[in-house]
Amino acid sequence: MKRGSLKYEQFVRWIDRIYKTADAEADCDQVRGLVAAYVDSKITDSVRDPVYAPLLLHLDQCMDCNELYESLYRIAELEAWGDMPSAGVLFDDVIAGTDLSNGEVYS
Amino acid sequence: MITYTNDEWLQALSQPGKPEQVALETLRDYLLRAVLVYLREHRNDLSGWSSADIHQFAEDAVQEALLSIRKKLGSFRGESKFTTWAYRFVVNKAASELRRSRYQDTSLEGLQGGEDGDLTIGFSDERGLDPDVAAEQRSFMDLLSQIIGEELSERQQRAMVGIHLQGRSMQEVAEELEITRNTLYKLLHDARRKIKERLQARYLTIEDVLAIFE
Repeated sequence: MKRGSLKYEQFVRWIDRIYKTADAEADCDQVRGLVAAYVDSKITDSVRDPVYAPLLLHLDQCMDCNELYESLYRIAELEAWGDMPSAGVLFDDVIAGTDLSNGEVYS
Repeated sequence: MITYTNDEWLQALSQPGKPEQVALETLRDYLLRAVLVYLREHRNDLSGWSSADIHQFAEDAVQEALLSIRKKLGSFRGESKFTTWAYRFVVNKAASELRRSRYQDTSLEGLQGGEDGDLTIGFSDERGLDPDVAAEQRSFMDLLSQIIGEELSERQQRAMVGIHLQGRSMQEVAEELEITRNTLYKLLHDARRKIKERLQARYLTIEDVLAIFE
């Protein structure tokens, strides 16, 4: 017998996803084709919801595509606001958050 | 950072010579920053990596993304900023590789079915419930297990267990099942639709179900 154990919050999210299932849903390839435009329209506050409804439904169901969306949003937002640090600063930030501290400078 | 309009990017990247070299170097810088922002957000996954490993990982992701971008330049339709469209390639490369390195060290045997093919779903966290409430919850879990056992194919069951019960990534489960992520999504969509139909056939709304688990 297979036994699946899950945490309560995981279960509620799973049930929610089951009930939100639509008869037809956009697949990963379709969503990945739309996601950059959606990110930009979110940043410029010009989202036309009906156009992106299938994408939003998919992002709620697919964690890989959702991760891609969230990462793209963070990156594009930094660029849009002129807050994107240099590669050297970012590399130092990455190193600072790990167990590395050998002071290597990115070049 | 040099800035280009979408048209300027396309023009520069399509014309061999100095403008193309400058545009490629600029794009490389944009992509490198993007992948480093991504890695900064996923520092927990870099435990045990040397700074040289991180450097190499970022450079490889940028290089591969540049190749893909040049190959797919013709598919850019101008619906977003060119850089946002381009970031998708480098984030995708980095995310794929990071996920792969994450699960290479973990056992995948959990996706294999048991001998009798039955599935029993239960909670891993202790909730200390009233016996009547616990019985009602158990009854719903049994119903869910029964629907999954009766309505879903072995492949759909394995996909469901991997994604929803074990919390694995789509990529990991797709590779385990030797299918594309797109096919896995369709498999899961079909499975969710069947479960939903069976629950609704019993007049169980989401409110009813959540009330059992409040």
